[in-house]
Amino acid sequence: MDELFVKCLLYADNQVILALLACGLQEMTNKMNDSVKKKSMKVNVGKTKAYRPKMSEDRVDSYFETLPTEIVLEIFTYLSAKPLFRCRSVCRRWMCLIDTLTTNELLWRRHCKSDFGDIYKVARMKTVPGLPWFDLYKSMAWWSHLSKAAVIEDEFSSAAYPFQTNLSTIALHNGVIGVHTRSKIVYYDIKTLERANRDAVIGTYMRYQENYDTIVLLNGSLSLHIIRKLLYNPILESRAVFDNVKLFHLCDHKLFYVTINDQLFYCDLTCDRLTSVFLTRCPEEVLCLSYLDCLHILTFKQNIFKLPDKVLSLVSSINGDMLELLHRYQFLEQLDWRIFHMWTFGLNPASDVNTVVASLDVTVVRVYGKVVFVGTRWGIFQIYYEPYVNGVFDFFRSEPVKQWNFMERSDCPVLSHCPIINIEVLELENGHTVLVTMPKKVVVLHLRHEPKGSVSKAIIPYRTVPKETI
Amino acid sequence: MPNIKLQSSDSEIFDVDVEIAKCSVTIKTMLEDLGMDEDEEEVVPLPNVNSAILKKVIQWATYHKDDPPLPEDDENKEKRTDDISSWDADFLKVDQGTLFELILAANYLDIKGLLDVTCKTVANMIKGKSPEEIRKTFNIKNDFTAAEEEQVRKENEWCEEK
Repeated sequence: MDELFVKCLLYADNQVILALLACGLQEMTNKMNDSVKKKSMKVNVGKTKAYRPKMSEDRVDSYFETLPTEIVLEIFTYLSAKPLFRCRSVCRRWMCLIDTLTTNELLWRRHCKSDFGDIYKVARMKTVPGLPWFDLYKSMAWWSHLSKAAVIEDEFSSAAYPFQTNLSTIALHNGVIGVHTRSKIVYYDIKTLERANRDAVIGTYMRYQENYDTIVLLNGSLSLHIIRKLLYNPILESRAVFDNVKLFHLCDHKLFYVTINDQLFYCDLTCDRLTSVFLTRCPEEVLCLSYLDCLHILTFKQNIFKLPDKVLSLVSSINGDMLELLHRYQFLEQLDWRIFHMWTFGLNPASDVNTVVASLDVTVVRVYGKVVFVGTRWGIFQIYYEPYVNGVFDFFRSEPVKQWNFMERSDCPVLSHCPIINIEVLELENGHTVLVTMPKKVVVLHLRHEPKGSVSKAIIPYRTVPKETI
Repeated sequence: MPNIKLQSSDSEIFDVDVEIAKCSVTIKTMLEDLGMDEDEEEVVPLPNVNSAILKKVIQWATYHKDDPPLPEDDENKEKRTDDISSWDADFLKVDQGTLFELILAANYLDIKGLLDVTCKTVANMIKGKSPEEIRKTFNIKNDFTAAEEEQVRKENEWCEEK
């Protein structure tokens, strides 16, 4: 307006002033008013109106509203799983956005990995085919609410004859469970509990292990049979036998075994040919093996060795907090509990009396992240969550979250002897399935958190321990 | 070093080192693909960024001009939010309006480093807060009905602490 030179201006019509903010508008109006006054003109106030576009009128003054969806989603990916999900209750937009994120497999895989690093791989493999990572995460997160879970009990693989006696159960990657009986390995479908469309492996074996592509069997004459299930390539060797094997440990594609004279061998299952490599000879009698970054060996003399290459080095001796040490080096699952009892009872005078007594009954322990399953020779099955006493791992002195007694049931064919010999866990949508193997049956416990469908076939557990805070 | 001129939405002109300006993929593309010659006295218009924000963006880019290129996003790796450098943390001690405008500018100009660090800052503002605190922090309106809120609470049960 300053540059415009007007000699005589009688009126100016339809002036529009645009400004970003109300104060800017005021400023410009004032300026105009001044120049209008200078020219001794008047502004028709009656016909002057100030507008704010409707858009900004409705706008909630949250800066989040200004961000495009992809950036809000980007921000959400920086949150860890639980805080992210809790953000669903902030507002509708956030809820919708977070719900769209649940189909992001990579994101939830990452969350599974960071929050359940120790079990997510196993859990992923042993679930029904096609379970999304988000559902898997949710299912694993439900364990901390175990005390509130509804239980549906079922059983299968009942053994009427000695040759049908169950020895172990393994959940495989495709919703199939392999039940190892005295005369064969039979496959069942996890959903229907009917025989799966897969041939049984006939034969008497002492120990059976199976994973995605390999079956490992140890028979009574101490021959270890390795069988490849899938032959990606015809040059792959399909099977191999190693002799004089007393125990073995299968960890993904690594197979370790110990011969009766305590020589340690390794077999790489990814190689074309199934050949074993001699590692070293253990100076002490080997009790069991575990694998954490490298092979670890527990001996009868209560020592833990590790074998990073071909040279053994002593890691620790088991005394004092035995359970804690066995837990730390992941020996609890492979351990012969009679030996543990012997150690606490005879060799360690400082042992807690209750531990000594309780350990007499334990037959099997399964560690699953923060969850610990314990089975006894009298059919008692307990589930613990984070069983720590003063920061030390000790399920003997912790309270179980849930407990069952499978022996004292009318439907159990054998009343005097019902040891739990194997425990297997699977994650399903909104819950878990636990398979408890006993010689005469395999019990299926469906632990449901958001019960769906009929619960009519539920049997009330014999005894459930009231809610405990651990 | 040759300079180029960047024009903010409110017509302010910034004289910037080309190499610094090129940390913005948008500007880089403009210069390279659209054949804007570096020695020509051409002005790059940035109609989505105002002068105050552009100033901040240039300040950030100048400080980070010698940074090594960011690694490709690894979807498997956990995204951390505690790795913001102290300079960036100080730089981002601004009011919420400016922070969000920086995000928008970083997005428009396609400056990954700045977008990452600003998103992390917002994520840190969300962390450790209850939904009510989050609403308060960002002035978000709770648009759930009581029944819906109860429904959401039920659906979220699995991720609540015991």
